[in-house]
Amino acid sequence: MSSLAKVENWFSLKGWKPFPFQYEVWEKYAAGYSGLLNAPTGSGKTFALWMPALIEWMEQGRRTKGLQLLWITPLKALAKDIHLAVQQATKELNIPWKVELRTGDVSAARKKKQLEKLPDALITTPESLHLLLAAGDSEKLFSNLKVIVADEWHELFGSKRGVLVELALSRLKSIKPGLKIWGISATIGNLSQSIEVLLGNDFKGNQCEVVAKINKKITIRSIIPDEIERFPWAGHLGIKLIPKILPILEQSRSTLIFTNTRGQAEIWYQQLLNYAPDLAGTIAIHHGSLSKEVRAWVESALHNDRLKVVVCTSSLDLGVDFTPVETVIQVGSPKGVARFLQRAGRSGHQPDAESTIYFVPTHSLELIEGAALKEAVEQNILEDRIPYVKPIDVLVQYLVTLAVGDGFRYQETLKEIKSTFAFADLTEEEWDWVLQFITTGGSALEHYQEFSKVEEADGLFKVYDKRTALRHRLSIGTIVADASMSIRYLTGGNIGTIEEYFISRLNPGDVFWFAGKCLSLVRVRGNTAYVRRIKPTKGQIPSWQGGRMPLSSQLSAMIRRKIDEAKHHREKEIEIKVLKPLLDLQEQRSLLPGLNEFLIEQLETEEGHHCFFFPFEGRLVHEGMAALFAYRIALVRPITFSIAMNDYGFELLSDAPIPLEEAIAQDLFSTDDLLAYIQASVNATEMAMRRFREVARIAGLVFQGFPGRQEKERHLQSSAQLLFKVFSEYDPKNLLLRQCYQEVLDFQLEELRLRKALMRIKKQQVIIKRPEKPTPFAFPIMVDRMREKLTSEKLEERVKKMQLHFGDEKRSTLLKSKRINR
Amino acid sequence: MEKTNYVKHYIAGEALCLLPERAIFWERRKSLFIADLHLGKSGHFRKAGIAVSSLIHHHDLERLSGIITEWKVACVYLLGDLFHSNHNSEWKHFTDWRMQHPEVEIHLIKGNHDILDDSMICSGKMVVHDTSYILEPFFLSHQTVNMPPGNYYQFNGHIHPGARLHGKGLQSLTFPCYFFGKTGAILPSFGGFTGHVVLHPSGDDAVFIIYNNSVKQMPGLVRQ
Repeated sequence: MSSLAKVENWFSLKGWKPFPFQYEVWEKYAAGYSGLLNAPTGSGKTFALWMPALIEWMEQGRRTKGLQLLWITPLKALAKDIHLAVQQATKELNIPWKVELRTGDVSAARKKKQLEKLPDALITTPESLHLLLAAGDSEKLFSNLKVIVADEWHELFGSKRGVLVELALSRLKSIKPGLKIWGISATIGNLSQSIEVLLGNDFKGNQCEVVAKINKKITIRSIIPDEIERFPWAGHLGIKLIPKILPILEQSRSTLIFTNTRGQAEIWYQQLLNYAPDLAGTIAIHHGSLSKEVRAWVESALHNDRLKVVVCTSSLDLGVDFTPVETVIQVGSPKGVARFLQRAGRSGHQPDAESTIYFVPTHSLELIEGAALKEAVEQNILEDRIPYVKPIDVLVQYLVTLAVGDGFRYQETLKEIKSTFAFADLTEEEWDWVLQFITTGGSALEHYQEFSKVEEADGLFKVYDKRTALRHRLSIGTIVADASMSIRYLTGGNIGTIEEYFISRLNPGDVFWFAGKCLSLVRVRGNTAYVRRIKPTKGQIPSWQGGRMPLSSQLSAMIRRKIDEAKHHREKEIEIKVLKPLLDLQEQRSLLPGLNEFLIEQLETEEGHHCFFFPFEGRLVHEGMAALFAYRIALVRPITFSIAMNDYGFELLSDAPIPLEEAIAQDLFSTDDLLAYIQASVNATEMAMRRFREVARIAGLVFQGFPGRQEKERHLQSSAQLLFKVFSEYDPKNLLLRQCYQEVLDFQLEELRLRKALMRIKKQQVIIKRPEKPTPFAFPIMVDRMREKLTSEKLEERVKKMQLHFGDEKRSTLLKSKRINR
Repeated sequence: MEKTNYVKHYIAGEALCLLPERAIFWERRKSLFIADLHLGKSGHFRKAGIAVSSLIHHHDLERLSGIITEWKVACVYLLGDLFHSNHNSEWKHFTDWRMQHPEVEIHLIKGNHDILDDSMICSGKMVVHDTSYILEPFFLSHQTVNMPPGNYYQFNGHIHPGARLHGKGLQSLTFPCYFFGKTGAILPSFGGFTGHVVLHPSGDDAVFIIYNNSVKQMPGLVRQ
């Protein structure tokens, strides 16, 4: 029997038949191609790439030993899942392969054994792969490698973890020319770019893109409030609609409820139990702050059909196959089409099952998003993932990784690094700076004495110091955890982590809700808060800081189109039809802006003079645009603004009349010298400083300590903030600083998108309305508490207006400050 | 020239000048109190592979020289954490600096970071006190300790105090500060390579923030 026939036979024994796309991948693989398989989760994508590697091995006359296949996944849990599936298949096909996991969950002893004799196939994560490079002996370890598979590549692509993969591949390709590289990706806007990035710009072999034409049916239903007139105009919880959701939960075998924040998940969990106490025992909560054990329990209970409802956050966006899940509910805006589809795909996990996703609006206008999502899904309009360019922090980390391992050489490694998409444009100056940064510390030699990290001898850059090497191994990776405290029961048992800020405001005896449990704080010791579970009562719900995701530009554009349709009475979707009374009110008090109109509303209240702009471009762009407009208006006449925004528009509020017309006449919407204006109008330094936390951690400047050990390394503590200030003053040319400012422009202010939005507005007809009352569009922004201030006032003036908060005696003792910065 | 950027604060009838350079000058005794220089910290970091310029400490000592000259300081009391950790080349920079001020008497009250060998500390030509020193009517130590009987007012370092100011619209700013309680005061950290920890004062405390090269007492608002 041919090898292919054996595999086909195995499929039929399982009662399956290979899909056409699986055949296509097998064929291309056998012909030596590299490429990308575009297939959704749960489509049979794993076997599409596992089988051809087995076939290749069976076909060979002389059977290779050693590591042949490297499978990279973004999640440890996913790695475990895949390991189970492929190990079984391999065994049933009578192939004597050793298939093993190598992730953070695998014991050190096991890993050591693997290094002595690598298995035939390894399933790993980007971080663990870099640790493997840091182990040394790479030439030998990877000498028989035939193929690398980057699973769920869309999840890694566009993140710094993706850059880790790019860099590791550049090394492996150079060790093993002719290596096959395959990616598996869900659909994203820039799929073909994602292949280029994966393969690198020096790739010479044949490449292809295989699309799994799976007609996975997705049905989107919005939960429509009974009386739209009485549904809130603003808000973000959506619990008012719980009564309408209960029947859905009832009918479905198992349901995932996605919320946008961890705090919201906690509230929903609690409220669902309030409305339906019967759910107790079959409802669970899952989010990123819960302990590994709690999450693992929920995942396996879900997998084994023991849970009816799980309230979760993006923590369950990908990963493990939850076959029993029949229904998915999205609470509030998913902010993007791809994310919405990803979540929808979590139900009906079999290849041909239908996926149903319910959309629960949290305020009236969000219903528009339901309609926009429907059309975007129908037209398959998906967001791009923007790959990182020149993240110096990741490069610094990678070079030290190589230096901890086999060491590296100037020319050879520069060539490899320039073969990646991320560092294709790395200049020689930048390269030299990075080398200097890790070898001598900096350019002004006399001020960087006794620096020790990477040493150069005979052209080989290497780390010799054992402590440096150990510290580096513990810091590999680009995921930066929040400063958080762990929560444990007094009787033992880890529940999860919570922001230190939240705990510091509580006194012993105070009650709060976490992990769906009502807990009473007993005491705080070191970095742990000890709690006791008590009978449910009212308590605080922790909130977690962290960026709020902006609306994607694809979804934003679709929303503008839906409003335009409503304006011209061409609405199709039920959501817009239901929303009609509210939209009519908007039209009546002000205007429903068409696609060629830009709406500005001016209003005077007791609070002062309001000016609302409605670009519908997502909150990040609005943040930048609001600061820019405020700055330009203040050039007309000195004025101080308070700024508020949401995903639809933003507000400038002032105590003085706003000279809007003059500002427009003076080119308020201009894109000339945009960069200079942005820098003048936003507090870029503060934003960059916040970015530096991640950058400093990745570049190894802030060490998070040894695992399991309370105390950090002696006298090496410092905050990223402090280092940022020190670098800004004493090493202003530091590329890591420059990177922070660039990241602020690219990811925080979305400069490119801001520019495009301004260009669009310039072509639109500007319509200024002066409604007597707040409009439905303006109201949610007005009540948004998150206000930023743009001011031309001096620091002295600001300090004059501010006050020091004196706490009450009890909690104000100096001893209260637990963390002393030594 | 009349100096205006400092604040005079009276404790036990003694006039103390709170300087924007993060040091307290005691007029009557021509003495200077400073805490938490953390010299050698950049060197300690460099040895661990974190590139921080040693210029930062050079500037700290220049600042100290500036104060000594300007206020004609006779005696300097270092309230601990003079040197950040184990010995490194930056200690020599300190001893070199010490030679420039032979006329000034320097006392070091050791802090938890001062782990240098006594022989090494000796080269700094200082009077060294292990945990505390009484300088009537004041009691000097690095961390807060129980005082012997007597009516002393305690001065400490160690904490690196900061004050957070709150304004409208969720604004907040944090500054290093002098912190005067009923029985003792905490000095801001002198070293440039130090951060600060936000303290929450109570009604009896006097807080002086340092910003833009000036010192300002903050009126407080009792939070409900």
